[in-house]
Amino acid sequence: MGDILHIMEGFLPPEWCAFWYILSGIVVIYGVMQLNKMIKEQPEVKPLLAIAGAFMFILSSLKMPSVTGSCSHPCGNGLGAVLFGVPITAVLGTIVLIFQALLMAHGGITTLGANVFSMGIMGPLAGAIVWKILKGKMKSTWAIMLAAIAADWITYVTTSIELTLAFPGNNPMTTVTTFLGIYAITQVPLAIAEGLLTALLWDKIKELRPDILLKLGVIDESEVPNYTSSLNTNTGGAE
Amino acid sequence: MLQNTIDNIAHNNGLYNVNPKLKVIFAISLLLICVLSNSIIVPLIIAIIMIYLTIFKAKVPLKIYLPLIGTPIGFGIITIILMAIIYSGVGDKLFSIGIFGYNISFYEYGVNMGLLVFSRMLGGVACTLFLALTTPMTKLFYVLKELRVPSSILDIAMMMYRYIFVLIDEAIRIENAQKTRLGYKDLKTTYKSLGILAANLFITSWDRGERLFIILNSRGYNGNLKLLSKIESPNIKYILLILAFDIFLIIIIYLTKDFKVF
Repeated sequence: MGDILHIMEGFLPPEWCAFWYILSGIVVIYGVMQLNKMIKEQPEVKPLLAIAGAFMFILSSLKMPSVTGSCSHPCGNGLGAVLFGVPITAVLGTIVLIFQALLMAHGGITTLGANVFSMGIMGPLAGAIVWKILKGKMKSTWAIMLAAIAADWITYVTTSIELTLAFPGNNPMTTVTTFLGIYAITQVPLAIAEGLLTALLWDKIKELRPDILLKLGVIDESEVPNYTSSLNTNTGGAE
Repeated sequence: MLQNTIDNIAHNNGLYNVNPKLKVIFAISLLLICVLSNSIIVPLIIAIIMIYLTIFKAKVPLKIYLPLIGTPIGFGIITIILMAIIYSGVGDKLFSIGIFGYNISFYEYGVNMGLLVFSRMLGGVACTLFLALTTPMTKLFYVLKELRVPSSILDIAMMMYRYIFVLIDEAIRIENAQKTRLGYKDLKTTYKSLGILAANLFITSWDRGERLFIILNSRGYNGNLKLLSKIESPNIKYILLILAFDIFLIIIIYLTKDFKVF
């Protein structure tokens, strides 16, 4: 299932290729404008975002074993949305998808617009909304897990809807259930797997380098009491 | 890893010295024609041309090319069955087969649609693979720069490309270290190991990002990376040849627009 993660080159008819290109293009251009503003204010974000994008690429090529015995790849779009916001994730996701098409032959150039819309826009949006709602109400590890599950799953729901719009069949309702059956239902365990992996990753970062998460403003200082108290008492070895 | 091999071949193939602009124009124009076609003939012609060029002119090893081109073929067969299901009952019934107790009937319209999508995928993937396997990313960055892609995006893409390989090495090193310490031995440890790998990779990435800014700063970074050299424009003769070939294919699309297999 992991290999048909993205819509393959040539699968969509030309009018739908153009439609998704325009729709995603608007969001990505907005993201680029935000990015340019950020870079002007703090030039250090450019190399950081580049390496964050490279990390997203590696994360999406990790093989994740799932319950059914098959392997899947995490999307990483939920984590991106929580850390950098939806517009920036859309831009990074676009570059990652171009690299995936040209370095791994996953996805494609004509279907880039549709893939960006599902993986770079709708998925991160779902993750960001879940994160916004749950932030502060529970431990951030649980919130990020649910955000990652939502982002992964909504990515596939959007893909099924994109496919239904392109090939409505005799009865669009039965077609959408067919595609949802193929993508959305089989993806539920894989989405949970991605959620677990993201939660483990988040916990480890919180344990080892809470300063990164504090700097990005995604966790509260009260969540890492040991780190903040050590900062307050640490006099830099002057005693 | 797979991405390593595609990238290696892109730097090391029979068509490496052909002007990258020419390769981009050729592959992208054929890709668009392939998607615009309404019959299976033109996509199949394009697939044959691209497969011929990639195997015999670029001399890409079959061991690497066959699995890559095999994906759209396998996926295409699934697509034909899928189209038969969602468009069942349109046109004449051709035949029906039983799979796992289900009886799937193949009707004219669905099968034709499935074959069309199959041929477009085959042609499209052959075009993308031709571009990916003959043109290194570094050359594509120059082409993208001349296409006026915003410099912020291009800079990020260039640094990302560099660091993908740095981080892959890092990931493989961590994975080997984990394997020698009984990581990945069952499902539970696999998740634990993957979580630790991803977290450590994130932290090293972050540190590398901060260091990269210092590195750039110490070399006079002012927010933009400069691409100094330029690629020459290809000979106008070749561009006209490609254009003539494109027009020829578009005429074939027009002539075969009513062609159906069944």
